[in-house]
Amino acid sequence: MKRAVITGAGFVSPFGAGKDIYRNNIFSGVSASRLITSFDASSFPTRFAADVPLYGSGLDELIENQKSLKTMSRAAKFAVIAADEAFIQSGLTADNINPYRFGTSVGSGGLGLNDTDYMEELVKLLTGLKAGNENEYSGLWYRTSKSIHPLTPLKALPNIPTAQIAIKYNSRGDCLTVTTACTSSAQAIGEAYRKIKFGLLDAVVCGGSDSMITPFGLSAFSILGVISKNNEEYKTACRPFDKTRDGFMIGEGAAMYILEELEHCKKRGGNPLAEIAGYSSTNDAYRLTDEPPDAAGSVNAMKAALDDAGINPEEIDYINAHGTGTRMNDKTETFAIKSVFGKQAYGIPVSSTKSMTGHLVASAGAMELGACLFAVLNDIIPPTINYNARDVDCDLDYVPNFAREEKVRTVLSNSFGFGGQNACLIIKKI
Amino acid sequence: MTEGQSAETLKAAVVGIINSSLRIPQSRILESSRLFRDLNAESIDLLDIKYELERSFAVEISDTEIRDSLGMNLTQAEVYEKLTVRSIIDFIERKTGA
Repeated sequence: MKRAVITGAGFVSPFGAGKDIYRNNIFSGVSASRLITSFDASSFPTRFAADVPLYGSGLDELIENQKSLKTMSRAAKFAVIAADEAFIQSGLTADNINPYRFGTSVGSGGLGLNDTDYMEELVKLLTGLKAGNENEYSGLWYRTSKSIHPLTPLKALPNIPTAQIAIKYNSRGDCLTVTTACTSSAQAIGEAYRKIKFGLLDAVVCGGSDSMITPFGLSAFSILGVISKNNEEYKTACRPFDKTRDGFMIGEGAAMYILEELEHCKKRGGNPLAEIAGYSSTNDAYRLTDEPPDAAGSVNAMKAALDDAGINPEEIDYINAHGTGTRMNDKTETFAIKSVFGKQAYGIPVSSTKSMTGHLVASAGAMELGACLFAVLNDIIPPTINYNARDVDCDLDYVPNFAREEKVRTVLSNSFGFGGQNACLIIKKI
Repeated sequence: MTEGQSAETLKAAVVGIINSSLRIPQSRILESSRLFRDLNAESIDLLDIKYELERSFAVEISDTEIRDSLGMNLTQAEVYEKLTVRSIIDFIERKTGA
């Protein structure tokens, strides 16, 4: 079996573009929560989120190929900017990678329907229809074709961020887009890891990108009742594992990595940052949004990832939890961790970096793998902020409010998602 | 755009649309430039250009109209060869009666 190492990492986080700003903020315990200003959210029950503070030309000027902007959603722009940073750090060039052994694997979500202009036009068109009036519908195509830009639907395809990256880096090998809600990017990275492990590829651009802070996204999560409505205390509203938690905060952004086969990296004189040592994904096969009381799906995902890495539970130094801040997730995830690690669970630091970044949905797992990478590289464990009141059902060490300096050799990263999806990644110091 | 618009104004507007769509400096967009061969356009760019021409010149352009204006039953390669900035200017002049 081959070994897969990270040789480059790039981020567009709710703190801005670049790895330094992301690392510094999560180690400092900073909340990225802001009141929503990108559209009028005053009528929504939730009016805050962790948006990427880059809009308009401030975002567009970071895209090298300006022509590609017209087919890029906000999430696609994030993806390409993060991939640029990762690729540059990796030192890969057209001369040291076979393009047919160079793959792409990206977690993507929201079906791209987060293009505000597109959604607004569609809503206007559809709400303008009077039910039962066939004449209204007969004019729908004409009005649609005249008011929606013909390239806009391309932005809605989930694989466009992946394709933009593949084109830019001449990555002609296996190309995958994973759309499995909140586990999308963890699975995209896991599948990339497997392709390297089994010798199918030499390197993969992998990660995830999402942008759901839109009228559509905010409506969807509000209707599902999964986001915090604590507008008065929005800076501290996202409280994973805390007794007073009332839901997650929507985040957005992208995290991308160059994952490379170890010997390939050594041969070209590359610099491995850390190793992806294990991965597993499972499905609860239970209910779409409820987790089973015995947490069997997530328990088995964690156990299988440990098995895949060939390590014992006591070798895990830190767990980056899925830790959304919903009543159900945090209780069930705590139960699942205790099921896997037994009494040792009480001695393992477990934190939710979503307390700072919000929940980046399809890109959550990739962004959180970045927190794990920084932990391994710096021997610092990022905290769970806004943690003040202990919940009897959540009784582990959640690294409350302040980062902790501690030796970090091996980290487990959990990602769980609607549809009963579970994905676990293990990253090791190299 | 209005009926009495001069040919130069119309040409500048067409070049402006091509410039905006393809993100190529206006100085590189010559009347003889072939969209696909010289200006690196791809098929979706033509959709974009058609949409902007319709809006700018208040005309309706069917899906195949620009292509058919170059000659009927052309192969893709022939379209790539014949579709120039000048041919689009001519097409719009005919559409608007300019």
